[in-house]
Amino acid sequence: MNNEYELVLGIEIHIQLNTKHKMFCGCKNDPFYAKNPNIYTCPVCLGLPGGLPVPNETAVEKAQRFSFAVGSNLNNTVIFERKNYNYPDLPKGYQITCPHYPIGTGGEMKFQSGGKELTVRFREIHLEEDTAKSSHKNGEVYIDFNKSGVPLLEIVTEPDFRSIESAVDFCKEIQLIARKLNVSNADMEKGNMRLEANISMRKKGEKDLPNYRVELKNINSYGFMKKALEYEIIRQRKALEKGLVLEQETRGYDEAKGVTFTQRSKEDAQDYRYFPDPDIPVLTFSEERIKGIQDSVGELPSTVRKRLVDNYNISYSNAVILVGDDALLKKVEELIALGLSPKKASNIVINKSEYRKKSAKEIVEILNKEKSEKISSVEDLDKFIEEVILNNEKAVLDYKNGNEATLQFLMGQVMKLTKGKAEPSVLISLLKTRLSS
Amino acid sequence: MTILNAINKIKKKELTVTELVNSCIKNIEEKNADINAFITFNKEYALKMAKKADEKISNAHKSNSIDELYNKYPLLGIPVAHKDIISTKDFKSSSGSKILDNYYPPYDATIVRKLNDAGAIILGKLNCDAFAHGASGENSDYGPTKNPYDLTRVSGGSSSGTAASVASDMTLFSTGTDTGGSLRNPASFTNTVAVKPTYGRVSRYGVTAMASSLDSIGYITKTVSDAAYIYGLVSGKDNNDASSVDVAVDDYFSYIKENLDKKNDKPLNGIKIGLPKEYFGEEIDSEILEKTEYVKRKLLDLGATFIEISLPHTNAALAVYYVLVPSEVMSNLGRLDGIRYGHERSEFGAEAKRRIMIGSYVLSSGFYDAYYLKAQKVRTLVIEDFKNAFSKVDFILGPVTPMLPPKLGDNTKDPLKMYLMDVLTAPINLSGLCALGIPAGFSNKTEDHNELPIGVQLIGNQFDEKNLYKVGFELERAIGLNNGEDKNE
Repeated sequence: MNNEYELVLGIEIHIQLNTKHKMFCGCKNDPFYAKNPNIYTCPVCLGLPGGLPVPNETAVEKAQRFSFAVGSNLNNTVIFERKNYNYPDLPKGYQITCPHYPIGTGGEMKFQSGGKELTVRFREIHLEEDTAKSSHKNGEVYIDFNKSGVPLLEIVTEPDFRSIESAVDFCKEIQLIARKLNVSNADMEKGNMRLEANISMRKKGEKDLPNYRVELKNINSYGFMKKALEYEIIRQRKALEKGLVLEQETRGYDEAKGVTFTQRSKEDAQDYRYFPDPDIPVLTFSEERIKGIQDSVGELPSTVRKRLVDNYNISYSNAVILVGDDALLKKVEELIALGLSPKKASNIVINKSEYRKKSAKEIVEILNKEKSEKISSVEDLDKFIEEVILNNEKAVLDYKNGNEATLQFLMGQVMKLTKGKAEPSVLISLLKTRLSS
Repeated sequence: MTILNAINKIKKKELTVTELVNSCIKNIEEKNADINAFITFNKEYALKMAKKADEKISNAHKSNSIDELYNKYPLLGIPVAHKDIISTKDFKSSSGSKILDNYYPPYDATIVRKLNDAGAIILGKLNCDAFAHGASGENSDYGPTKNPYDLTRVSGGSSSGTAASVASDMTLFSTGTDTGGSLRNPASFTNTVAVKPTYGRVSRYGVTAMASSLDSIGYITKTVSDAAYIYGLVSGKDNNDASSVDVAVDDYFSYIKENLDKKNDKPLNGIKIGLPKEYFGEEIDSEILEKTEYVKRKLLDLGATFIEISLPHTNAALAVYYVLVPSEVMSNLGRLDGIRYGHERSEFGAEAKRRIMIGSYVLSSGFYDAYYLKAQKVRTLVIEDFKNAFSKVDFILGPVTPMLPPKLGDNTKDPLKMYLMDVLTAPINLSGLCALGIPAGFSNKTEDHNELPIGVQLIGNQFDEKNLYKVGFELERAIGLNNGEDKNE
């Protein structure tokens, strides 16, 4: 019997969509940059009697584009429901969401982690409204409704992660896709993106899901996610090793103490009394509409990366960097168009800081200028080669005895003499010829 | 006085808006202490608006453009009062509940905005069952509204003040809501006309929701002609209400305008009207049945033909109604959580608490399928009943309530008895149909009571209001109660 435990981890990612208006009203969607609290509000997002929600079509479309892009299956029918619960930051006493007839159901996404390609399955992707923001000061609670009703996309995965790193890599990929598709700024510091983790442990080799699940809430950075999960893994493993039975519960992470703590146990689990929101007609989408959404999704990060690696022979790690930064990728593509080899182009853009502020055209001009100063005539180079052969008898002898590594050394010596101006491709063939004669 | 009469007189310089508003104010000041129709009444505001309207009118008279003025503002200077459940920026909007006793909305409901734009003058806000929960007006936290025809009796509900204010000449028309009969019921008790629009025809924006999937925003007038005159002004798709429907707004008044001064022989030739046998059972008061029979004969005289039809799920409809309504009520009242409006949740009245508890129960996991989902399925059957009926007939005629206006307090101890008042009206809301409540006359005088008003309802298919008003208008003329005739004339 194997006594090692493995992680069973599912992720929920909330991302605020970057629409102009809120999810169900015409108020400005810009909670982070609002100059004052409660300036972007109306009867709808304040939950006043008589306020009625009208779904934001752009938000729905962005949610659909994103869901399709990551590989989830778009649904023809979306039903907004009411999730009833009371909390000061929820002015209507219910949140409008669509978990049972969501934007996307199932599907899977491939992503790279630790040099391997992994697959994660989606449970669902649904669209809902964000709550208001509450803050505590001097024993009082302050509520800012600028955030109330901001469109929020929730991506729920199956518990397919077996390591923290793979979960973090997945989240980063989601973040990148959200930005690429311009559906969200997905900035964790600004609260555009928030994470939750569903974590449990089982003995290695077991196939069934554990009969408990701990929900870790409100994780607002990858650093915290790692720390909270690391703590939780140790806590759960120790408990299981002692033979304790772990319970379904929701836990928070105390940043200062570096520990997780119980927020809500199974007994306090709420009954949300979901039912279809009678204020919002069922949304139905024709096949044409779904097709249109699918066509509107451009190249995905994974596709671009594959193209860079397969067609251009750029290394995977460089491809990741380029796809993560539109400006860099654009410059590489311009350099390739101007005749540079893809490898050289990516190397220059990623590694050569002196070119950072130069345009592609300027870079090529500089490179051409350097090239025109190179010593490439056989006559000129021979003089330098001769001098090096004379002064490095031992190295020459080593090379002739089969130590090919010394070729590099000898080349270096020629370069030193020419102050780096020798044309490498000409030099190497010439040097080989001279050494073998 | 009717709206049409008032406009005629204003156009002929026989009446000023200030005089009109003052006559309403006089009635409010004389009668409201007894009737309790108004919760909020703002005399100064009304007179200020009247003065403004009179200025416009006198300018138009000077430039011979009074008709143009009324084309632009079809309700210029016409007094209106709004059910307190309807948000008004300038008036407290309590929804009949002490929980919202000091609530002043920062916005006008769409129907208020539209009526303001048409030139109507708000007199104040009207009493109603708290959150429109009730069929007698007795669930108001501001005391019951009394029936102008018998002050010992209820004026019906939940739009109790809406009906009583029109019936007692405190205003020319009043807005209200009808979720399961809340306009037709009080109109039938007060000899007034109720407009229950097709679901989605009139915007719900700004109206405190009772049961969102059934709430219809309408009004009460003295005559069908007045009702038709207003209808186009308040109808139409509203971008603030996703459940409002983008169906073209008809000219609902055109038939009446063209035929007002003509006497037509058999104007309803070719119109088929259904009598649902389930609406004429033993539980219905015999005088109400007789009056409905009388209305049938009038319609026959006008050329209509009658067919007996069946709406087999009528009884189930009431059960469905009292599962779905509390579910939506529970959720809709969740916002009054004691945090924002200055009152504790414990201040909810008994009926609101009852509905919140029922709704919380039927929606809870484990019971959802047995109650809520089952009720939705039966709702589909109720809708099918009407679909079948409307494949055979153009309209359906029936009584509105099973009984004459009850005495105050008669039904308050037994909530189930109160719920039964909705048995003939709630199915129409479940099906989203349109209906008119039309006065049919009065009961006999007995030892127990004087003559009491009796109404009938004429039910139309969705968005068939144009034809509904035609039939309603001809019927009203044939019955000849001449409501709205100025008693002082």
